[in-house]
Amino acid sequence: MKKVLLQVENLRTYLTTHRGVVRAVDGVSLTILEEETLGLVGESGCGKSMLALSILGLYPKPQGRIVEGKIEFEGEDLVQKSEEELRRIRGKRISMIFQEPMTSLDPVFPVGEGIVEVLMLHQGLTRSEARREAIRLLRMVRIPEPERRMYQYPHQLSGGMRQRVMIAQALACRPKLLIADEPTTALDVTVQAQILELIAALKEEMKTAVLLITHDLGIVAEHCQKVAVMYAGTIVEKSDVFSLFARPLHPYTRALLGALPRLDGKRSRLEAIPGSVPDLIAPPLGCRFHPRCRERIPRCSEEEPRLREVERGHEVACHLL
Amino acid sequence: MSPLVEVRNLKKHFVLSGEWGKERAFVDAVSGVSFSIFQGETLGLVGETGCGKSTLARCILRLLEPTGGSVLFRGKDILKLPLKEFKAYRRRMQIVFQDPFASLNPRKTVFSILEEPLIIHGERNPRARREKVEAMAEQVGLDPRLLRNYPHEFSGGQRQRVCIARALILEPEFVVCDEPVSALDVSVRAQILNLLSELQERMHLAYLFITHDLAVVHHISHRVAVMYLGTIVEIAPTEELFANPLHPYTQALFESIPVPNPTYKRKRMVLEGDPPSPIHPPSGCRFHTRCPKRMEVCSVHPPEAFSPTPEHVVFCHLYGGTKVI
Repeated sequence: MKKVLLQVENLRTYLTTHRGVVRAVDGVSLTILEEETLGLVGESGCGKSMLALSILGLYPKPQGRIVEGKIEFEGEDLVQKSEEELRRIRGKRISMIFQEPMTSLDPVFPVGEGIVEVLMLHQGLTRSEARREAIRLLRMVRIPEPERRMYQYPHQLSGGMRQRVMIAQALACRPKLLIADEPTTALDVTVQAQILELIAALKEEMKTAVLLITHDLGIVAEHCQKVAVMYAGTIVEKSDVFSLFARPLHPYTRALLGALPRLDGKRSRLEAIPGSVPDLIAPPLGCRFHPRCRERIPRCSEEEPRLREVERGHEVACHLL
Repeated sequence: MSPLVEVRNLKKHFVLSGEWGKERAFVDAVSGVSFSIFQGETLGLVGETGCGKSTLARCILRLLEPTGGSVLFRGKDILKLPLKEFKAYRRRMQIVFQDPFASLNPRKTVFSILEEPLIIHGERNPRARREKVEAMAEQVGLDPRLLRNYPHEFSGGQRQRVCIARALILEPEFVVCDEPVSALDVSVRAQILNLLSELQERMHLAYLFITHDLAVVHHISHRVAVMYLGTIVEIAPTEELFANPLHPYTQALFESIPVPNPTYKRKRMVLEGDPPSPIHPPSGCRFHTRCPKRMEVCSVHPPEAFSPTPEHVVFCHLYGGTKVI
């Protein structure tokens, strides 16, 4: 049995805006075991990125705050940590890669510099040691001619190369947990396949656990062991990947799978979900999916369903079950 | 049946502002593309970022002036027409863009956005215009009561409905859909794809459907053309292309798509490297620098067309390049 690496309990992260309080993460619990890949799926604006940022204490300040909940990482509660303590964890024990490597790499520094900085800060290497190590890391993420590339600037690299640099930087200190927030959304499919293979191979080698955030159910099916489906700030279904795709139980998960154009099925009309994602300032009462749900019952608009284990290892938040 | 739109050897080069005293460089965005589209049909055009698919579409509509080649619309070469005469063709061919946030004027109400094409194309009667706008809104599933609102008051999916209504209000025969669902979430994407299919049936539209999403193209197209770095490498009816892709690029593309089924085991053929720059494209077959099956001839001569079946054409040296067209 693998050990629990990260345990998020009843986390609520709210953002204060001029329109009101956005309840971006509203009572989320999840667990990641060591060396495991958990896929977090949901549509844009469902709070999945805010959840990731909350783990690292990177949510926008001062608008954002964690109003409730615990984030236990290797037995320590990250919510209680000071900024200084978090800084020592970020990049060392938990790292993150973002969607658009053009905006997350600093345009005025050579790409190798970011890696050198991480190594000097967290590992106490000297500059020349860190340079040698950075070259090794760039070679590990299969960047050709790393000695030359490391002195180039982000705009001189292609999107795929930039994402490789981000990965090298994130894995420089062999973190226990890697948070990948839509790492391939900005890339083409052939490059996406390269990057996902790379993450999978390095994860295996370094025994890192991965929280993979994506809106693409195909990526989840291929690269994750477990899945959590998020809708409007809450998790509606959690399971291992095989039983989720074989027996999706929450109406939202089923609708999401039905709305997907498939390569393997016949080309019939798609099962569209009516309406659009709700506003998180005033989410619907009761179950947040009920206004769009085909199977709603009166109780759905009155009482918020709780996540319950319906089958072994398969949790669903729905009144129907 | 004669094609509605026929593209013959279309080319578009962009001149780069070169350095002083140096020879000017060209971006070879579209380099000799030919295909045809029939009435009521959807031709899917897939390819990666920068392969020239949007440039190709804009050249067909003359939103960009092509460098060479011809575009026949119902047999008439529209590239040779003076712009004044071409205007009559504009209402018969329309476009829906990718980003419904950027392609609607934020200072106009949805009503005036939809009304404008009618004014431009000479509908003088305000009452007739209003009736047409309301009828069109209804057709694309927009509540006519919301027509006085501004684009920012609509969600992404609704805005794309506005864009579709704007394209269809002149009752065109041919519509270019340039990544119309790429900016939308899965649940909304399905609504828009269904809408496009319904409208096609109702109005007998021909679509050129541009996308990088292979699952979407498989869903909506009757035929698919695969583009790589300014050239079409393979074109075939959808079912046939997906069952029997012949070009190594098409094969690699298909094998790169993540399949939402954890029990599915693929034979991986991950392509190496990134697509090369269209400023100095590779010689011979443009794919040879990344091709796992390249031969010596590939870097020397551009491949000839090969047709295993009448509707399936592939440009690859692996198949001998016997010309059967």
